[in-house]
This record gives sequence, C-alpha cells and structure tokens, in this order.
Amino acid sequence: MNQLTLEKNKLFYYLENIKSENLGFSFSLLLHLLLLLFAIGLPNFFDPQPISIPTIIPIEIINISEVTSIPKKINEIKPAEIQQKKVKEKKFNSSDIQEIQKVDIKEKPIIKIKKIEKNETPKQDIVIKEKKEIPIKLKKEKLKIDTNQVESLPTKKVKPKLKPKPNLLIEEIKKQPEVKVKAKLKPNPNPVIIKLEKKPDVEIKPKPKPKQDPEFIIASMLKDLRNERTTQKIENENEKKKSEIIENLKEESSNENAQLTINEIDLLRQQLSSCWIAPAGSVIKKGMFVKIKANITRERRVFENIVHIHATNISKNNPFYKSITESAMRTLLHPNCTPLKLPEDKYATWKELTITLDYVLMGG
Amino acid sequence: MKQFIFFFFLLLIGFKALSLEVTLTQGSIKPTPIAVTDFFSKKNNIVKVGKNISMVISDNLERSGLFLPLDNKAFIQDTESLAKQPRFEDWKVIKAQHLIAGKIFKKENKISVEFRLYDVFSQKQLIGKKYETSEKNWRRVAHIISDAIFERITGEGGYFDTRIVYVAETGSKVNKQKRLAIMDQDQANHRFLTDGSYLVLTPRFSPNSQKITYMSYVNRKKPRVFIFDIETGQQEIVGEFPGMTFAPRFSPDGNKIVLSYSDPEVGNSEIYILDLATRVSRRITNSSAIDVSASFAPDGKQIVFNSDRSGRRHLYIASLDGKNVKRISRESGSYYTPVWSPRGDMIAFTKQQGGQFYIGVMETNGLNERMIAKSFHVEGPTWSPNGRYLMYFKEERTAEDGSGGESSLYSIDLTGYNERKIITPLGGSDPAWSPLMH
Repeated sequence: MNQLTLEKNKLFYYLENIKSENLGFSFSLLLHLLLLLFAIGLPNFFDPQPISIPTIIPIEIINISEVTSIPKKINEIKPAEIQQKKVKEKKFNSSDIQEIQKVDIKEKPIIKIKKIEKNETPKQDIVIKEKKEIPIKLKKEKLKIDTNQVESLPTKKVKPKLKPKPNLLIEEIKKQPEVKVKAKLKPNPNPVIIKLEKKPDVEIKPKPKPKQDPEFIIASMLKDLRNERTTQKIENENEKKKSEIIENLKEESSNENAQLTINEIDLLRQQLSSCWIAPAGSVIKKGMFVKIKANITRERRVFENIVHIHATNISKNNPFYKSITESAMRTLLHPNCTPLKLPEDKYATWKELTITLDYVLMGG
Repeated sequence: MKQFIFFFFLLLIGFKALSLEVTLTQGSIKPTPIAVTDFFSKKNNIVKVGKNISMVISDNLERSGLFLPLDNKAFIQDTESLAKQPRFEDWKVIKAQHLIAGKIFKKENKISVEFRLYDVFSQKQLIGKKYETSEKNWRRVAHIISDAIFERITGEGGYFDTRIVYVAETGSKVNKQKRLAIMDQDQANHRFLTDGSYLVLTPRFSPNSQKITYMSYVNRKKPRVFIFDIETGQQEIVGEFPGMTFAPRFSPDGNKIVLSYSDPEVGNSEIYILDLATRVSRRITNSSAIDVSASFAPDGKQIVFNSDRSGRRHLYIASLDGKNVKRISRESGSYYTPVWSPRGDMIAFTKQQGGQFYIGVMETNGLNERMIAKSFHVEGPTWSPNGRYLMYFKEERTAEDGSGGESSLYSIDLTGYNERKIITPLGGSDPAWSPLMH
C-alpha cells in the first residue's frame, strides 16, 4: 500500500517537474491517449451488471413476456396507503399539498410545458411556469375523477354544498405558485394562470368563484355530515390519484437502475428477428456480423430514423457490404419493429440500443 | 497537473453511456417487397410507354426470385405526386421496402427516362439515373434500369440486359430440325438466325455479345465450327482442320476460341486453342483419351474440360500450356459440359448417374459439389453474367408411340430454387447466356 502511494507520488513529482521541452511531447502523448480511448472506449466500469444471456438455442418462444414483465400497475396501491391518505386529507392541511408539489418538482421534469404555454400569457417567467405545471397535472387527474363522482351523487341537495369544495382544492393549489412568485420574483402577480387552470373545472363548478374564504368552506362542510362523507370520498380519490402519480414517478426513478428481464429481452429479440431480413442475393459467409446502434425515443421508436453501423467484420471492398449493412440497419426501421416491444418504465436501460446481427446460422 | 489528470478521467468516465445490447442469430431470407410504380408522364402519347417500362422492370425483378413486386392496386400515393416527392409513410403501410418511381419526357423522336430508387424504411434515395434514347428502345431501357436496381439492392451485378441464343427444335426425334434462335432474357424479341436447312449445335456468345460460335453440319459429312455475326448475318468456318471440330467457346478476351478437334488419323479428340487473328491453332491436351467440352476460366489462364482418361468421364483443369492437369470431380457418375462461372468461383456441369441426369455445381477445386436440378435428361448449363443463375435444357421422356420427347429451356437460381421454364415458340436446347450488353 505504502509502495503504491510512493509510486503515485513519484508520478506526480515527475509530472510537476517535467521539463519544458518534454511538455509538448507529454501533452501530445496524453491527447493521443485521449483520442485512442475515445475511439476504443473505456471498459465498463460503471455499467450495470451485464445481463447474462445464455447461448441461444433455436426454440419456439411463446409470447408470454408481456404478461410476465408487466410493471407495477397503478391500481395496485395498497389499501393501507389509501387509508393513510384519507386520514391526511381530512385535515385540509395545505402543507400536505405542498409536500406533494415538492416531490413532483424534484422527481419529474415537466414535459408538457409547451401545451400550457400556449394558454398562458407569453410574459410568464419560466420558473413560474414550471412550478405551476405540476399542480395543473394533478388537478387534471382529480377533476376527471371528480366529474365522475359528482355525476354519480344521488341527490341534488348535496350538489350546491359541494360546490365550494373543489374550488377550495383548486384555490389551494393555485395559491401555492402565487405566493411563491410574489415572494421571490414579483414579476406578474396577475392570476392569469389561475383562470386558465379553471377551464377544466367548468363541468364541476357551475358558478366559479374567484376566491373562497377557507373558514366559510370548512364551516359549511361541517353542517352536513353526509356532504363531508361525499367530499371525503372525492378527496380520497384525488389523493389516491396523487399518490398513484407519485408512486409512478418514484417507480420511474427507481427503474433507472432496473434491468430488463430475460423475458423482456426474448420478446425484443423475437420481434427484431422477424424484422431482420437478410439481403436477398448477397453472398453471406458464416462468421460475418454487423453491429448496429440507435438511440430510441420514449415512444420506442428509432430517433429520427437514424441507425449507425457500430462495428462489422465485413470488408468495405466486399461487393455485398452495402446490401448487407443496409439490410441490417433496416431491421430497426422495419414497420413491424415500430414501436419496439420494450418496457416503457425501463427507458433508461434501452434508450441506447445496440444490436449484433450474427450470420452464424444464416451464412453459407 | 493532478487536477488535469483527474478531470481527464472524469471526462472519459462521463462518456460511457448505458446501452442495451441484443444479439440476433436468426433472421429470415425472403424476397424483398418492392413497389414498382408506373413511370409518370404528362403527355398522353407516352403514358403507355411509362406503364410498359414499369411492367418490364417489375417482371424482371419478380423473375429473379429475390424481389416481390407489390400489386399496384395497393398503392396509396399516385404517380403524379410521387414524381414530386414520395410520401414514405404511404409506402410503409403496404410494407414496401423499396420504391421505384420514374418520369418520362418526350423530345422530338427521343424519350428521356428518369428513375429513382428509394429505401422506404430509411426514407432516402438510393440511386437516381436518367437515360435518353429513341422510343423504340424503351424495353432495353427497362432492362438497364432493372440491372441498376438489382445491383444497388443486392450488391451483385444485374443480368437483365442480356440475350439468350439457343437451338430451336421442331419435328420428331429421328428427324429433328434444329435452328439457331436468339431472344432477350425475358423471351422478348425472339428471332431465328438460321433457316433449319442444316443442323446446328452448341452455340456460344462472344464476350461482346455480337458474335456466336457454334458447330454446324453444313457439310453433312464433316461437322465444323462456325462464327456467326449477329448484325450482318454472315458466318465463317473457324480454322482449317481436316477432321471434325466441335464444342467451341470464346476466350474471355474474345480473341481466341477453344474447341475440340477429332483427328481422323488418331481417332480421339483433343483440346485446341485457335487464335482468331492469326488463325493459328495450338494443342492443349495430349492423351489417348477423349478430351472435350473445354471452357475458359474468367481470367483466361486456365481451362476446364471433361475427359475419360481415368476410365469414366470426369472434369479436369489445365493451364493454357497444357500443363498442371488436375482432376477436380471426385464423386461417382459421369461428368459432362463443364462451364466456368463468370465469378470464377464455381464450375457448373452435367452429371449422369443411376439413370438420371443432373445439373450441378462445384468449387473450382472440386469441393462442395451439389446438384441443383434433376430430371430424365437435363444438360448444357450456361451461366448468367452475374454468376447467380443457370440456364439449361430439359428433355421429356419419349412415349412408346414416339410422342413427347420435347425439350425446353429452364433457368434456376444457384441455390437450386426458383426454377422457371423459359417460354419459346418451339422446343429449345443448348442455351447460351450472353454477357451484359451495356
């Protein structure tokens, strides 16, 4: 150990006391090394453990993978969790919502910003948009369920008393960004965004009220236990949805390190094999291989239809080089392989796909 | 410096990205689905030419066995809009892997034909070419386009702009009339070269496809080798040999002919090479056996022939000076009519064994012999210029009453698949495939 440290120190001593005439040479050597490493690549220090794929024996693969590889379903939330949420919701504590929002912001980058931007005033600050995005998403989910729930409510009497409740929810969520904006940036306190957010509320709220007094709402709700129950139900549903989304986000983040199962790889292999059509007429010899590489989008399609030849042992002088490599690249672009059969929740594992087409059985 | 090295390694580590790797060992080999659209023209008088060109290309590609032209009823995009820009999604829907689109313009007596070949999946143009010719040459243009497409997709040279010369046969088996006939490889433009007043056998093309050498019984007692000029219709006897000359074949440069000569004084036949410019002949083989059916290697440095010097008919290779004679056929049976592939890697032959005839191929060293066609009587293989297809003739068994016994031409893929009958007006035998004409 001491010897190793000593050697390391020697190296650094040499590097620090390097002569000026040798400096150029040293840098050149280093840069060449850099180029070489760039071309060859590094050993897989940080790759996940290699998926050990057993030697392929030609067998019939039965399409069971989709069933066996299904990720955790949204509906599979434990009842205990739902109960917890119910209890929390009863408190009408805005801090709960705050917590949810924080998680959202941290864990999921906003994707649909553009859509909202269209509705929003162009002057909005980016920070504001991002923060508003998450509550909107959550609300959409809630509101969809709300409408269903409200429609199924048995009596008309309940309705008017229920009205303020969804508003309260919306207001609470809306208030969050407003407060933050005012405190931090003060750019545009005009609650334009709030109005936009209300649009989907139309079905629920016959008369949208701009601002509700929380005390009044709580008081009115306390009057009728039945109302409370129904609102609780709705809230519970909302919370359930919230938790589902959070769960999904958590799951997604945890799946970044997840690996594909053998079934999932088999399914992909089966799909790709059907799309791999060897070039008719070309002379293919056993031992030939073509390695193709492509970036895959979340929609499980080849990014911009670009497939690269990563490696091949076919000489460019071979008259069939073009036809063989082109047909190999076509494998990933074949309509039968679009979209690819890959688990969406493990995007991180397959966003870059390398396929080796080995002509061991097709050559000769 | 320390920081630099640390940063350097960090940078390299950062480059390493996650990637899913999958290895495939089994794909499929099937004809490539291809959409051949009618060549577009704004002028009504040449719309038909556009359709005809498209039809010839489609037929050529289909006949090759490597392509599956799609039914044009399934096409979504019309030819007019296609002439501007293909909508690849429309072609993907019908699973076309490649798309051929073209335009025709007419200027006075000439037409200019433009075509583009697209890769539908990668959505890019693979080739685009334009030809200008007189309108009557539209079929030739279609063949040339077919060759360009075939070559671009398969990586192998085309064979569509070629011709076939063969012996057309009529009459009963005992009194057959045999005439020289020539046609395009797709059986179009058929015509007879001789009138049938004398027997002709074993016609072979010259490398420029303008001349044919063959054996004829013009003088019934003494069969001789002739050269026939396709353009002028003139024919001449090759060399002054006192005995019988037969089984001629041009050298790859077209300056020489290899033939078999049976010396009446010796009695057996030997291989000779005749220089066409000087008319000087040179003996290649010298044995007491019968040496016949010589064929040049594509490089012109060797010949393959058949000989019974080992007791049965086998195939031998020799250099042009007659040295280094080496037997290459090893299996049982009798071997005839060897032909060296234009690629240079294989030799096709006729084999007789156990009452059956076969058309087979083997490597030039005699290894990997395999039979690709079998019948009561199959004989006379000839290679397509790309070395991928063979043509031969097949004779039916004659019935007891003397009926039947007709012979027809067939083509087959080197793999032994895609055997197709070549339709000829009369019976056919001894086919010879010309080199590419463009």
